[in-house]
Parts: sequence; C-alpha cells; structure tokens
Amino acid sequence: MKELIDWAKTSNQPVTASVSTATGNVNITMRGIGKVTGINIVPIPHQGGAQAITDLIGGHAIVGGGSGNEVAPHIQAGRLRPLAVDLPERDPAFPDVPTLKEQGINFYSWGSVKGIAAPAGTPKEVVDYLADVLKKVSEDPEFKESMKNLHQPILYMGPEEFQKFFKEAYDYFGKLIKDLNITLQ
Amino acid sequence: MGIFEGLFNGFSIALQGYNLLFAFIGCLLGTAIGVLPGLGPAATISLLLPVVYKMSSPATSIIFLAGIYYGSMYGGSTTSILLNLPGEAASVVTAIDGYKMALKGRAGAALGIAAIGSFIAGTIGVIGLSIVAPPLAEFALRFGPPEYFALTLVGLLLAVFLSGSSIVKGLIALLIGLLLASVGLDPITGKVRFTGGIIGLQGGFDFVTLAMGVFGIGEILYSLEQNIKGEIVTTKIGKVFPTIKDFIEAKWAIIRGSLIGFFVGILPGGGAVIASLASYAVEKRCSKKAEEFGHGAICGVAGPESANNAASSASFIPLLTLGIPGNASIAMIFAALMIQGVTPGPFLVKEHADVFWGVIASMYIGNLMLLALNLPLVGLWVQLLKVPFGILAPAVVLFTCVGVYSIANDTFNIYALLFFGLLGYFMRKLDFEPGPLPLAFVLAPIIENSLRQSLLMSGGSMAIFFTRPIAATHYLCARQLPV
Repeated sequence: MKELIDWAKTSNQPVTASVSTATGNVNITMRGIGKVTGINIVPIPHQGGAQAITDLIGGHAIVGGGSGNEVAPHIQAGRLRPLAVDLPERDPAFPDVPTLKEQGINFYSWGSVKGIAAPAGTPKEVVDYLADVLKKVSEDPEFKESMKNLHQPILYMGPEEFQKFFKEAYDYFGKLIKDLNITLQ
Repeated sequence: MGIFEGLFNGFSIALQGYNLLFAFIGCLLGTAIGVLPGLGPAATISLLLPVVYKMSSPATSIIFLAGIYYGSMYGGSTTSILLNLPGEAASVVTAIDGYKMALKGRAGAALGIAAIGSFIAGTIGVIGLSIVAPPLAEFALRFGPPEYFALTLVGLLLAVFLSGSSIVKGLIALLIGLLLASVGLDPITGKVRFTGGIIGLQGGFDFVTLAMGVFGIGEILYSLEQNIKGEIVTTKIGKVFPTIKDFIEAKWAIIRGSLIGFFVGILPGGGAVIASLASYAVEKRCSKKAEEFGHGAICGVAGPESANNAASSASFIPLLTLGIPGNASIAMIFAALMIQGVTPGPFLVKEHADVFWGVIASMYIGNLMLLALNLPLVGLWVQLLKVPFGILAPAVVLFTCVGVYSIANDTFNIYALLFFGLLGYFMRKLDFEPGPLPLAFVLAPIIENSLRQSLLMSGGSMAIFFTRPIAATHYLCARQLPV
C-alpha cells in the first residue's frame, strides 16, 4: 500500500482502479483512499465484480477490489496480491492482510453486508421465531463450512442489534458519499 | 493428471447411467428451447437452478446444464432457416442464407448441413477445450477495454458489410441499434437516461423482445401484406438430407467456422455472436461464388452454425480455468457450481478433477446424442412449413407474446414487442436489411463500456486504441473490409 502511494506521489501518475460498478462499495473505498491520501485514483466501473477482477488480473488497471469470494481464488493462485482490507477490523477469511487503518490510511467501510429483512409490521412472535431459526442456521456446521468455502464471515446479529448496525452503517455511508462528493453526474 | 488419464477418468464418470440420462435430457431440452423462439438457454437454465440443489453431485448438475446450453446452439438454427426468425443473436446470420435456401425448397439441406456442421464444430471445440484450456485462457486475459473496443467495433463494421445491398442503410440500422441500446442505466455513472420517465425502460430494452419484434412480428406483418392466402414457403420441401455435393462444398466452411468459433469463443462476452458474424464474412470473402451469398449459399449456413457451436464449447474455457463467466448462460452455470459448493477458478481442474473431466467427457457424448437427435428430426421440423400461414402466423405471434412476457413477467415487454414489430415492418418495407440493428444493440454496451473505460485508463488520450498491439491488429484487419 505504502509503495503504491509513494509511487503515485513521486510519479504524479493517476492510479487506475478496477471497480465493480459506479454505485458499488469498492468505488466508494477507492475514492475514500484517494481523498485520505491525496493521490489521484481513477475508478473504472464495470458491469459487476467478475468483470472488474478479470481486467485487474489481465493487468489493465493498477489496483482493484472485490468481495472475499471474488478475490480469494485468485490470491491463492498468485494472480492477485492483497494490499489491504477495507473493514474496521481484519477479515477472518484473510487473517494475514492488514486493514487500511493499520497501514496509516484513516478510512474504512462496512463491506457489503447481507442481512435478512421482513416487511414492516411483521408480528413480534414471527420476527422472534425467524431470528431464532436463523441463529440456529448460523451455528449449523454444514452452513459454516459452505460459508467458509465462499470466504464469507458469519456475523450473527439479532433483530434489534442488526437494526442498530444497519442505522449506523446507513448514516456512515450517507456521510461518506456526501464527503466524497459522489453524485450521479 | 495428463489429458488421457483425465479423459479416461472423465468418461468413467460421464458414462454412469445417471449422468448419461441427464446429459440426454439436457440435450433434448436444449434443442427444444433452441427451436422455440423466445425462450433462450440463459432463461431456461435460470429456471432450472432450483433443480440443481437437489442433485447429488456437481458433475451431474453441470453435465445437465451444459447439455441445455450447447444443445440450444443446435436448435437455434431451425427457426432461423424455416421462419427467418432467429431465436438468439448467434443465429441472426444463419437466417440470411438459410431462409433463402428454404424459399428455394432446400430447407432440408440447410437444416441438415447446420446439424452436421454443429456436430463437427462442437466436437472440435471440445477437443480444443480438453487440450489447450489453461494456456489459451491466459492469453484471453490480455484483452482489456481497448482490445474489446477494437474487437466489437470491427464486429459492427462486419455487420454492416454483410448486411446486403446498401451500406448507407446498413449504417442507419446500426445507429438505430446503438441508440436503442443506450436507453436505461448509464453503465459508468449509474444514472438513468433516455427513459422518458417510463419505469419499464429503466433496465433498458430487452434483447429478446427487440429481436422477436424486428424479425418475427415485422416479418409476419410484411408477409400479411404480400399474400394473405399464401404460405410462408410455397415450394415443395425438397430432400431432407444434404447431398454429397453439398457436403463437399461446405466442408471447408465447417472447418474454418469451427476454428474461428473456437478462438472467438474463448474471449469473454458475446462470443457466439461475433464468431458467427466473423465466420459469415470470412466465407463470403473466401468463396468462389460470392454472388450466391444472400441468395441461399450453403456455406453461409454451414460456416456460422459451426462457429457458434465451437464458440459455445470454447466459452467453458474461461469458466473452468479462471472462474470467469463469459456470457449470460455460462453465468448461470457459474451460479450452479457455486450452489454445489465448487468455486470455479484456477484450482477447479486440480481440486475438482471429476467435475472438469466429467463435464468435458459428457460433451463428447452429448454432441453425438445431438447429431442423432437432430438429423432424424429434421424431417419433423420441416413439417412446420406445411402449416398454413393463417394458422402459423397467429401462433407465432402468440408464442412470442408469451415468450417476451415471461422474460420479466411484465406486460411492458409486449408493448415494446409491438413497437419493434412496427419498426421491423417499416424497415422491410423501405428495403432495409434488419440484421445490423439487433447486432449493434447487443454489442453497444460492450462498445460503450470499453470505450469509456479505455479513456478513463488513458486519462482521455485516444492513443490507447492504437498503441496496444492486439487492438491495433484489429484495425488493420478492419482495413481489409471493402466498406
């Protein structure tokens, strides 16, 4: 990471970044890194993560990003070199890869968290029942195994907890987007 | 594991009764949906993904889904030839000469040569897939946005070049296709554009709807005007199988089509479409009887039909070695692998050798099955021609309406279908060749994306399109075109 930033600063060249889509999380992270470090990062949007990673492997962009399951097989095969994780803490699926913050870049994102929602006004007992079932699923060894194969961490949160997290993440992303001045041109 | 050891292992998996059965069902289903206009392989495979959950092994499920995919390439030519109604983009060029052959009473020969060409090309494609998969996939990686831009631009110029009489009219059709494709979400900024506030347009126009309208409905409207009591093809059907003479004439077209299809098919995105286009253009140039093209040249059917089959086998290369799906149908198979707990990627060949070699072996067997399925059935498809226009036309309209409705369960597509039908009618009436329009529509997103991505990469400098060797070679090839 440091090498990259030094190179960008000394050469004064733009750093092309292969990102999934214009509205995606990787794009926000790339712009965030650019803003915090002061280097010129040019995100190149694609039609989805797989295409973005292909272009990155083919050497058509300098850096890029994606979710764990998108990049993991390529990292294992030595086609990609992991530079940093954009989460507040290290990702259990990539214990050796330091976070941006550890490398002196004061930026983090929440990744793309998948949650499960029910329509507003769902009775409490139904919500409790579902929460209970999902908790059991999240502790099921077979489910754990298949998620591990997809390089997806399991972070179980109950309904209230998740709502709080969701609100926080929503506000955080909202602030980021305003700060980074990302608009639909 | 070497190739022979791998293949031996693969055949021992593919020849298990259960796997043979699913390969057969897949091929049969694939042929059927290829014949039926409106329902393509991507839609069918996505509908069958839930079935995959219940299958015991990943090899079986991929053998099944792959059968549907390459089987549809066999079936796709049928409606192109008999009704001038390509069910998918890869069969658009087949309609040019195939339909003319049918009009001359040689529908059987056209269908026969398409099936035989498909078999030879499919087999060549699978042999190539088993031998050269890893090194070739590495090469495909070197195609970045500037190379894609060059490739698709050349593809579009080819489309105009082979559109028939008038190059100006071909260019107009091409521009209409590009404009229609720009409706919907802007791929770079994510903003909604040119929808006029209509929610149904936010995702852009659907390709199947456009193709069905411009070709199918447009053709039917036009035929109505021509001869209300007539039949689509009034001459007698003719011999069902191609003659030895036909075969000798078409053999090099089949071989060239297979090779073109194989190499183009390795590239992610639009493989079979560009392959069939390129093959048609090459045949037209190579032929001693170039004047026959557009009027029922057998090579104009044999080449492209071989190319799209070889391309469909080759498109498994980036999937099975890099984990990159090149088109919508392969993306569905990618999803099926994930469901079965197999992550497609560089490790698949080693860690899931049974899947890799089992699927490849099943493709050898599947191609044989398809030949056996298609040649005898050619006679059955030819019977379609005997149905009076008064019955066939309303039935086709009904099927296309149901087909486009089923794409998104949205009645908006039916209105769009009518709109495109009128467009197709007026184009025919004004003597426009409709071919370039849907092709431009398919290639437009790739062109736009790759152009804008390239300019982002280069910081706005156009030099990027000419300084990279692969891209520059494309422009040199394009200069050989008489456009």
